[in-house]
Amino acid sequence: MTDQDPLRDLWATDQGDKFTMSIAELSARSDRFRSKIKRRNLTEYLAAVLVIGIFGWLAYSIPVLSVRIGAGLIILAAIYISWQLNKVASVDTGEAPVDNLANMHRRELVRQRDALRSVWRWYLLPFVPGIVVFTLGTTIEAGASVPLWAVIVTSIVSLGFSGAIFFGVWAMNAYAARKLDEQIKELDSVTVEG
Amino acid sequence: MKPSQTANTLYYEAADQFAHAMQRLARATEANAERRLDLLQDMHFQLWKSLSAFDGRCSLKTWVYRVIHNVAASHVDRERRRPFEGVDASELEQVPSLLDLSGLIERDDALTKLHTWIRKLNSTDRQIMTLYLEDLSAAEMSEVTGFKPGAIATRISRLKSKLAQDFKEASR
Repeated sequence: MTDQDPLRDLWATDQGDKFTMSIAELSARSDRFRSKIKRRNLTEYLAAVLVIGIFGWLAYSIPVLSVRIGAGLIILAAIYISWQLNKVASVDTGEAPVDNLANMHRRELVRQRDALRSVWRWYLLPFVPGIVVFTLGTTIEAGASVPLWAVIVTSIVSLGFSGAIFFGVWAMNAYAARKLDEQIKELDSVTVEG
Repeated sequence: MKPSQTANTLYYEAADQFAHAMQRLARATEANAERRLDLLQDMHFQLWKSLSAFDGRCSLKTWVYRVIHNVAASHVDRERRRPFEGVDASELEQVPSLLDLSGLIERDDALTKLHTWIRKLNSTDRQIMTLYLEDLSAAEMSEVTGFKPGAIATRISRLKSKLAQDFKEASR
């Protein structure tokens, strides 16, 4: 593979002025990098803050115990999920990329696949108690003056709608995880350690 | 943690020795000049940061190529999520034959077209092609990428055929 190739000759002619950086410039970039990570983490928490704000306001403004408990459970789920998002799905660990390319790529694929596969456990399941209690609470409260069968039907429809959304999110993530698994197997077939 | 004095010295050594390779990889990865400079600075930054952990178990050359190719791959992943700004697809159509590189203009033009062609490859093919062009041996490429030498040789052969065919079609 060391035979002379005109393509390599062409490639080697690409020289230009040599670019290097001073240690001071590198240190400044290091500081900027740390600030960027802090900003990114803050953005990830904003979604949780939004959910907490909305359900906190609902719990405050609707004086019904079941609604308040439901809203409280949803708030707890949002806090738990934002913590998990930060822990499980964070892309940049700040570690220098020193391993070989296949291992680095494989690790990233495995990390993404595992996060997608377990999405039901750390992203969907925590919301279930809150949504069930909140939905039943609001439905029962709103249907105080209608027949019981109407309350039951409305509850089933509302919970069924939430269930369908949850199922859709789970199915899409499971599909994406299967695709990543195929990529991992393909990668393993051509790597030294595979 | 800030890199040590030894890491600083190693960085200067590596930067001096591989500056052009880093610039070539940046050019073959990013078309936009501003983002290319950012990528290049990131390569230098990650290399500098990584050298604190350099223990000599592989050569400095392998280490440098691992770091800069990983940085380039992450850059491509990030850029893929950015809204598409458009690459001039007609560039390849104007390419002169690679076999006719008699003049400087033709050579620069061919280099630009080669960079454009490489940027269109998937991540693995782009890494293998640029390592091949940097004149790394099969064993060195295997050490940098983690791919079996046989798999690398097959890919290079396929990529060179594809390159020849694409450029032939473009020059018609």
